[in-house]
Amino acid sequence: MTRLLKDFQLAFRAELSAFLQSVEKRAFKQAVYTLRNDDAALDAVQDAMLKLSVSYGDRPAEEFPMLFQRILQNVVYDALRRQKVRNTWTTLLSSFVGDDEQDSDNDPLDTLAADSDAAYASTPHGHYERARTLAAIEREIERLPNRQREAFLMRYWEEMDIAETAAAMGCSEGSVKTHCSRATQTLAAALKAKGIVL
Amino acid sequence: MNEQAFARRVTAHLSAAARDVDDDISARLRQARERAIAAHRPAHGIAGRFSGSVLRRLFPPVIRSAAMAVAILAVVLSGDYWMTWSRVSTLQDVDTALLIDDLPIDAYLDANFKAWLQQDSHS
Repeated sequence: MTRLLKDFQLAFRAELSAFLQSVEKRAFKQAVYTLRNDDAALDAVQDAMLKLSVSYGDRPAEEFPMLFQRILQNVVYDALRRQKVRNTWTTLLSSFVGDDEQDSDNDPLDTLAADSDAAYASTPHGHYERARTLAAIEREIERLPNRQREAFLMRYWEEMDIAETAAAMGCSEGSVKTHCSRATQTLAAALKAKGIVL
Repeated sequence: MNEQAFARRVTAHLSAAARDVDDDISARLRQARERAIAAHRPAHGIAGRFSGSVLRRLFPPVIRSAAMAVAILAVVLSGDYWMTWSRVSTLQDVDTALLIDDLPIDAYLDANFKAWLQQDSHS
């Protein structure tokens, strides 16, 4: 019986580990889009993983995506608030802080067009342009309002349904649809303005 | 292009970006995952978790409320059955004692016994 229970616990851990492994890189990227800092994003993902494992590790595996997204968003917003407080003090204490946002406005991708042709994409030039297209998309994702980005990424990247997304975001299903629609329109318009056609 | 198709194309690019994260970041994410897994402790012990999981598998969310209703009904019916059985059992003891003329003399001295006997024989 003890052996059976031990096997059972190992199976649970393997289930949780497989889930975290499948989601960790996307979670890191999601955190980066909001926090715009790799170290802060890594800390946020680590916190979210720990909280899921310690507090919700016993829950059925099908609940993990919604729970993890909810925890991740909370952790990321906490980090964002701390970051803002820190930046306020830094700005007050020093007038020599550079503005990264202004630098990022000098976008070299204004005339770049996306090309989905596999043969073209496999060439060095294709790789280069693909990387630049990717950078442009990520920049536009970062520029979305937080709630729109959150809804868009959960709904379409994490492939959560509307009810799960609403539960994770703590809002109504109608709000999720509105956020997703606005995010898509904003992204499409921004990419089109840069000459990127997906 | 509709919203879904556009979103799929955007997320395909994002997935490519996620796959291409630095080795250093991948390693740190792996360490974070391993730490999280190591910190995991079953909230109600292994046995509790085992039984919880078995119950969840036996009763998926769709039939969970129906199973709960059936369980409540079973408790109510079994309670009613037990009450009836104990009452009948008590009456049986008295009837048996009366029939074999083995009723204690105190019973005949009890003022309420005769009234109870009449009321019981009427019912």
